[in-house]
Parts: sequence; structure tokens; C-alpha cells
Amino acid sequence: MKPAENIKGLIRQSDVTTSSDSDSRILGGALIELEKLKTDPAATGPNIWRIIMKSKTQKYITAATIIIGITLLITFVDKSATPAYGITEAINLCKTAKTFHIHGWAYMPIRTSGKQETAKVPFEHWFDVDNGRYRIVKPGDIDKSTGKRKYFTTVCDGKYVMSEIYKYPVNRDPYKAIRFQQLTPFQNRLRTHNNSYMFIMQTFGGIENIKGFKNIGNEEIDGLSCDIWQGLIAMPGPKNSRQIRIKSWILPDTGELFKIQTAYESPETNTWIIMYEIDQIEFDIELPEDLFETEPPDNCVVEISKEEAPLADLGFPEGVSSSIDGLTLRVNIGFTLADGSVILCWQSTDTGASAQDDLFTELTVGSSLPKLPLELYAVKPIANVDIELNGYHLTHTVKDGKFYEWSIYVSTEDTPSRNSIMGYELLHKYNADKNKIVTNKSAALHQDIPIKTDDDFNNWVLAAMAELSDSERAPENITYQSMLELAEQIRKSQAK
Amino acid sequence: MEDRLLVLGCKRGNKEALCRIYEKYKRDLLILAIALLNDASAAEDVLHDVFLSFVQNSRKFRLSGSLKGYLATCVANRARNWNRSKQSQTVGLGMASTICAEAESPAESIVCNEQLQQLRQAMVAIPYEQREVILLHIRSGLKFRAIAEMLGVSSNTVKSRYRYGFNKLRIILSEAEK
Repeated sequence: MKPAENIKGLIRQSDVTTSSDSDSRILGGALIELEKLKTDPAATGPNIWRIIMKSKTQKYITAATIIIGITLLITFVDKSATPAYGITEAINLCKTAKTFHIHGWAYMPIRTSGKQETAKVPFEHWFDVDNGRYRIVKPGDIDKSTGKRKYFTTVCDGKYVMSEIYKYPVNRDPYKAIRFQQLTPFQNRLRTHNNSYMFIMQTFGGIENIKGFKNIGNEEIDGLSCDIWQGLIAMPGPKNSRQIRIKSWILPDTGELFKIQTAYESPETNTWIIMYEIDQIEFDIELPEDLFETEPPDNCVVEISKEEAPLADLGFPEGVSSSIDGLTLRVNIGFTLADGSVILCWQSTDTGASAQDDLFTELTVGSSLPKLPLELYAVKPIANVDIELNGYHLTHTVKDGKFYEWSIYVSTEDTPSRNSIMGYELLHKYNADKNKIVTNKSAALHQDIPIKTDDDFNNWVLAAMAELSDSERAPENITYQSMLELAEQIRKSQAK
Repeated sequence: MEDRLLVLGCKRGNKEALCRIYEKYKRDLLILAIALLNDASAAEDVLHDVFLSFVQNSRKFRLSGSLKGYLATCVANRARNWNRSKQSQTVGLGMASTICAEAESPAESIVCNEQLQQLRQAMVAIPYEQREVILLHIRSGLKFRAIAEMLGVSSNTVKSRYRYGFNKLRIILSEAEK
């Protein structure tokens, strides 16, 4: 066989010659564009030498901006048009970004003198994905004691999460308190992922499969002409009565994103009320280290220190029902697979009841669910569709004496794409004594993780199973492909 | 340092800076585009679009790595999109003027040309994804990790594509020599 070095040499040796005609053809357009740039006063920059000297110690380097909107162009423009940038690059820029910076404005209602008004208040997020660090600044309500708006800063240094809360003790001045929480490596990875990549995915209504977005016009921003793309996501209720509207302002040639706006439809006035706007998203920029320091500010009282910090729980705060005796149903983590089926990890406890070992002994993959005190028997997409995905047992894990059920939810009907729904309603029934129920409320899951590939499955589903297992290992024989095959088998058996 | 100065020159509308960038990298970029597209005319179109876009975005562009790598990435992305939209399977004639840059004698030029012809045909015979990785790594000098980030796949996938593609090239070229 031909030696490898010979082939490499040939590849390196190959050459082309270009004529002056082809040079003119290739570079002509760029030279004309350069002339425009030269005559534009805004293009004049500072002295070159100062820039060079500064660049060596420059902290902030903006390396790229969003080109997510290119997928909208791919979906809706003439198919023969060549997009400005690679399609996969636009999507994967989000997935592979090492750092994020997001700045935006929340439109918060305020009531002054009996009138309903809206205040435009800033929010800002920074993420260092590789190291699991983030800083989130969120606006809150007006502090009645000071008349100023409250801002809540949460900082994660990769191991500890430092959160702020406002305290209003009796007979004391209000103050800001600090609480620390400790994260396992998996929880840290999950939170960083959810707060950065997933936040952007949900804000756009989903990059990878936006359907129904339309080009509704054009607007000039900063002297550049932007196309405006708009999409609607249905909320549950009478058809088209409640919707979320997402608008994206995109530079057509490059797919650069200038602004995103999310609004909801007011049922009282039938008008669109803006919820928030994002006016800056940067990827892979250099972030200053002090952004992620978790030293409590001087003017705060430390309620829970790092040394006392409890380990964070994996799960969502909402439960389904609670009683004096502590009957609960709680979803810990959820995933939506590419075929629309859903995997949930959930637990249900009844304080004072016996251990749950026996409830799992007869179960096999694809069998009915364990008869836990509350049973999460199905999920329903939150959208204008009437489809239920029925639940089947996959496996269970045990950690620190707690039992975690892993179920797969499958429908025989075509489920809406994940990007077009708000999440899932969690349908439950009671196997416990209903007299124990004091309050009852519905529950929903909005923050599941889309799983598209084997890598996604291994990185999130199996890692979560290991996280919630004393053995720190996922159960055997559970792979992405086997889950898709199981879902298909269930669909066929349900269809008969 | 030179690339940084040239980029800054472009930002200020300096024609000479842009021409210098073009002259410096046109050969590598054009070879990459031709090898990916199998069509010299389409390759020239891709390069035109890459340089036009480079100028249009020069105001916000910040050079954080290799300018050659950046431009090669742009070429590869556009070539991939072009292939998807055109679904072209034509065997290009654009390499007719290919010469062997480092040949020192007419005999070596002839041999080199034949080998290059065989290489071109072998390249066409391997899947696009494998060809892309081979060219970006060997011709454009991009590391596997950078290619993986650009393509949105794992480094292992990139290495696999390179390994499989290269092995196929070796087999095809060895058969051609017999």
C-alpha cells in the first residue's frame, strides 16, 4: 500500500495557478465593499499601534456572535440560495460554546397610583461552561422599604452556589442574606447546561426545528438592515387563545442575531405584552475571573456558609400534593428523545410507610409502573393537542435509601416537536390513601433535556442514573438505541 | 503579527492589506475549495463569497487564532452548503492547470502530475466527510480538535473519518499504480 507520508506529501504539493482574471473575479466584490468601508466614518478606528499594545493585555475579546438565525433562513428561504454560514456551525456554535454572555431587558409590571405600568429592567448572565461556573443577575420586585428594585445575583464557582435573598425581620432593618449550596460535578454540569444552552434554546423556541416562523418584515438596527422572523407557540386552552410570540431580528447575509423578543397574549385585552428582550448574546468571549468569585459581599449576612453548605438535591422544586404526613410526587430529571418519547426520573414517598423495595421486584423493562403512593402514569404535551404519552417502567435506582423510578412515556400518535410545546403536564393517580391528601395541584415539567444522539444520551441520561445510584453506575443494557427500539415496540403493541 | 496587522488594515479600508491576505492564502484556500467541490468555477465562487463576507464583517472581526484557519473554516462551511444545495456529483476539470509546485525536473513534473491526477480521482471516490477532514488537517493545517469544533462532532469522529478516508486513499492509489 502507498506509504502514508507519500500521500500526505502529494496533498501538500498540489497547487493551483490563478489568472489575473480569476483574481479579479474572486476579490472584486470584496474590494468594492472595502471602498464603502473606507469612506464610512464609523470604520475609522484608533491607532493601530495602540490596539496592538492593548491586545496583549486585553481582557474582553469578542470572538463570535450568534448566527443561530441561519436555521430560520434554511427553513424558509429559497432552497437554492446558499446560506452565508455553515448550517451545522450555527447550531453547534450554541452547543460547543465554551463561554456565553447574555444581556437583556425584562418588562416587569408595576402599579403606581392605581395605574398598571411596565418597567424595563436589565438582566445579565455569564457562563463558563467548561468549568461549570456562572453568574446570573435577575431583577426582582420593588423593595418597599427603599423604593428601589431588587436584584438577585447567583454565582457558581464550579462547586458552590452563592445565592442572595432579601430579609425583612421585625424590628430590624431589611438586609440581604447569603446562602451557599454545594453541587456534585453532575449537578454543576446540569445547571450550567440548563442556564446557558437550554435557556437560549427555550428563548428561541428551539433552534434545531423551528417551524411556523415567518419573515414578517424588515427593520434597521445600528444602520444595518435586519429581517424580522416571528413564531408562535401555543399554550393550552381554547385554540389560538393563548400563545407565546417569539421575534428574532436577523442580519440576512450573515445570520447575525441582533435582538430577540418574547411576548405573551393578554386574554383580557387581546394585545401582545412583551415579557423580555435579549439584545446581546456573545459566545466564546474571554470572561474576567472575578465574575465567578463566591466571596460574600460586605453588606450581606451569611446565613449558610460554605462550610455548612448542604448538597443540592437533583430535582425540581414543585411537587404534586402534600399532606401533613408528607405524601409527595417529585420529578428529578426528564429527557425528550428524538422520536418524541420521554424518559422521566421520579419518586413518590409517603412518610411513615414501609420501604419501597417490594414495589420494584416484579418489574421488568417495558412493564407497568411501580405502585408508588402517587403514580406518574402519563405525560401530556402542553400545547393545543390532546395526546397522552403512557408510562412504562424502565429501571430503578437507589441512593441513600431513596428509590428513584425511571420510566419511559410513549404515544402511538405523532407527538408535537419539543420545540413547539411548553413542556409536559404530569398526569398522576393515587395508590395511597386519598384521605391523606390535604391539597392537590397539578404539576408540569418545562426543563427537560432534548436527547438527539448517543453522546447526548450517555452524557445526560446515563450520567443522571449514575448520579442517583449508590453504585455511581447506570444500570446495564440501557442505551439510546435500545430506548428507541423499546419505544417503537411499545407503540406497535399499543396500536394493536 | 503580520496577520493581525493585515486584519487591522482591512478594518480601515486598506486595499493593499486585503490583497496581501488574498495573495498569502489564495492558493491553500482555492485548493481546499476545489478538492471539496470538484468544480473550479464553484470554488472561485466560494472564495469570492468568503472574502466578501470577511470584509463585510471586518469591523466586528477579532483575530483570536490563525487567520488561515479561520478562512479555511469559512471555505469548508460554504463548500459544504454548496454541496448540499447543488448535490453536485460532477467530476471537475478545474485541476487542468495544476502543476507540481516542488518539481525540479520535467520528468518529476510529469510523474507528479500523474500522481496528482490519481490523487484527485481518489479524493472524489471517498465520502465528502472524509475528504473534508483530510484536507482541513493536511492542507489547511487545522488540528483535529479544531475541525471537530467546526463540524460539531467529537474529536474521535474526526479522527475516525481521517483514518478511514486515508486508508481508502491508500488502497485506491495503490490499485492505480498497479
